[in-house]
Amino acid sequence: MILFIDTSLGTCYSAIYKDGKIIGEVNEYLKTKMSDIGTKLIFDLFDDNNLDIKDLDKVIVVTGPGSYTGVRIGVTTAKIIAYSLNIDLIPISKLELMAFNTESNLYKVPVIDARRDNYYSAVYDKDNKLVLKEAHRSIEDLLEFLKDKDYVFIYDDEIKLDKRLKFEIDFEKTIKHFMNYQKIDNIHLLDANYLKKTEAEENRDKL
Amino acid sequence: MKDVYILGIETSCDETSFSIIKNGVTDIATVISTQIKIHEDYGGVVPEIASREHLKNITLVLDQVLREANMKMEDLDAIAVTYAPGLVGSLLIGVQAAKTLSYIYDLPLIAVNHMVGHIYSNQLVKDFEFPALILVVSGGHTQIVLMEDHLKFKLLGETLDDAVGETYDKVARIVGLSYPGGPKLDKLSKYGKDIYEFPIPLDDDSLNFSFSGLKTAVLNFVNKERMRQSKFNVEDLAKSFQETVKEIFRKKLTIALDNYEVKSLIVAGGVAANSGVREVVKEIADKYDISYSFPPMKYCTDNAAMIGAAAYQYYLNNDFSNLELSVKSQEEI
Repeated sequence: MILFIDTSLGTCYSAIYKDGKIIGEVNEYLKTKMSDIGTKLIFDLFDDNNLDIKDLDKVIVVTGPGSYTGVRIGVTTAKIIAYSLNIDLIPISKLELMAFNTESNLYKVPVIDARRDNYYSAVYDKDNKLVLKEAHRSIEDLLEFLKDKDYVFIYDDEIKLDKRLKFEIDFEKTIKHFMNYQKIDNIHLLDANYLKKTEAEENRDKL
Repeated sequence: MKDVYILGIETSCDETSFSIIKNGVTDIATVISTQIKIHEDYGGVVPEIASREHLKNITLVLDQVLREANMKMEDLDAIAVTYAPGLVGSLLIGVQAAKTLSYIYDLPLIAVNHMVGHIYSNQLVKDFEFPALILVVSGGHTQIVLMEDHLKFKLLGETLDDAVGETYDKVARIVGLSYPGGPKLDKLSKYGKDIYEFPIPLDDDSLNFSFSGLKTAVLNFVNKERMRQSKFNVEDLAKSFQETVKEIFRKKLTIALDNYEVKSLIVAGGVAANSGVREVVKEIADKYDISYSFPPMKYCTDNAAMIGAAAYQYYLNNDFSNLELSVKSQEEI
């Protein structure tokens, strides 16, 4: 039995996968309520389907990039579950998740608004091969890379860019794909993938 | 009654702490992972960095407390967590961990106010004698609270501007001591003489405090001395400042004890470690012939032991929270 958790942006995505299929799923826009009820929605999946969380074999968690607080909610939950039950923990990228779930013959460019015209972004080709690694970058730098390419932006929370597709998750396809990804060796070392230092650290580094 | 073991979790600021407390009074194991060295670089706690550090530490500290207690999660009876007041992003890590543990092990979840926790750190030393007068002193709080029984609090007065701990840190910065300067200022005062005069703000018959005027007075004094290029003695300034703070507490505690008949005087909060506060509380308690108690030094800083101690009272009352528990940056006790 596998639990999938993504609380990195405004929508709480979670699903339980068992015997080759999805037993229960959450796909609910919570925005700021994520910290209050996100966990409850995830745990309700077990109760509503008469499943015991202790039967989990694996947790797949989106570790970012995204809202710092949102990411930490999912990662804390996943870390505590995997530690408590001593099971496999697989960290995955939100940007890769967005690209993987989007069919297109163009270059796929998952983007997350990081404010002040910056985006967490990466570029994948139509076969989901990474062609520009994920980073926090300005829209100018991103468009510079994309010039002369046919591309489409993929977004989850609202963005101020055209030529775009909304991320729609297919839980079964997602879990079947990512369940074979590399698990983390030491659960204690799982951290969020912020893609950006804190402002305090950046200001200090400038000195 | 069978023994009750509560797992306490505290992440409200820059300490990640887990503790296992038996029957609300016995500290089985407490682990505190402090980030103080990390924040020193920035002259104060950086909230986003604090949140990031909590996430890195969370399972490590949990694992360590279980090892030190030689217990398993299955041996516990409840999970208690600080949900307010504090840094929202930091509080969230503890609350999220608590909710998850509560669900996995089907244990009741107990939400504890951080300041109630500070008060209950005294319970780890000796039982409360009610009614008690509580002096709450920390970086964010300065309050006089009447405690008539377990968890029954009545706010009698509080600071109208800066908290006493905040004032210590600000004055420390004015005289050039690095963060966290409050404890350093306290130490320096031991080597000084009380020769500089500072005003007592809000010297009235209320139980409220004001400290910003005192801070400004120190600032003006230092600026004036520096302009005159005269070298004032930092130890003497520390001593004079400390004596002024003691006089403020002496006056306010006297008013409180003249108006409320209590059996004990209890100090809670990080500034309970301050030697001046300890001296004046001892002096006043002796004068009114009531008992007094300070938390031991190891429970003066933020810790989860006090959360587990306070939680026991909620446990006895079957006062439990649920998976929708929210964190709050502010919340009165």
